[in-house]
Amino acid sequence: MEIKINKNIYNKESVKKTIQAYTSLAKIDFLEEADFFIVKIDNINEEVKEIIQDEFCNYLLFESGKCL
Amino acid sequence: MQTIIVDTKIYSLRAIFSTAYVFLDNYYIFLEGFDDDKIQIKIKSKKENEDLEKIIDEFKNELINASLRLKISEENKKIREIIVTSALYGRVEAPRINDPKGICKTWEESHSEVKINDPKGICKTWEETHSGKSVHMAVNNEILKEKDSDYCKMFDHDGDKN
Repeated sequence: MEIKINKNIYNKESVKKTIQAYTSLAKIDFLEEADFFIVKIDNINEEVKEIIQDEFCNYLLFESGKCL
Repeated sequence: MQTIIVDTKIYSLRAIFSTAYVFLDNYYIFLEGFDDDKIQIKIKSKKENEDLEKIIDEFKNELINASLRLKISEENKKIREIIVTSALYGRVEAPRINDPKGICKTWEESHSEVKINDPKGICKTWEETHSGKSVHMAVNNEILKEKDSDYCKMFDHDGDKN
């Protein structure tokens, strides 16, 4: 599972914080491209996969909002 | 899932984040870039089979609310800072107002420079008059002054009044 995060909207610090918060639930890799941050979430229970992805995005939004 | 496209020339990114924050409890929200100046907001309900049309409208209204709040907050920033500074330090460096007649001054401010003609020092407090002297010395001096006064001398001749 991969999440593409726009660099113009979300900042790197909040992405890192979100990854840190979710590392206990899954294996998370972080990559940086020109316009996007790529977050790869693996080793995760299929039943909760979608929920974790959505919750990850919500947490990211919350963290980014704090940084503005 | 529903999507809204918002122009960042009209609504700031900060306003969009503030609005999204209000809906985080019940909805999943993800922001994506759309065009150069536009953001696509994806909204998904945490509950199943929920009609999102109403929420989209509420989101748009909240977006206007947030934008207005931010604008007012920006306009009042200076006043807020003055109030906080005054609360923390107890006084404020007052803004310079063109007030040649001193209408804006308090009574204390306008009368602080008034000099009262008081050659005998009647308006002075006891401490101001006797500063530097001990209490006993000061009291003795007062008694001596009284003894030297004409009124006391009237009784000094054989204890009789003339």
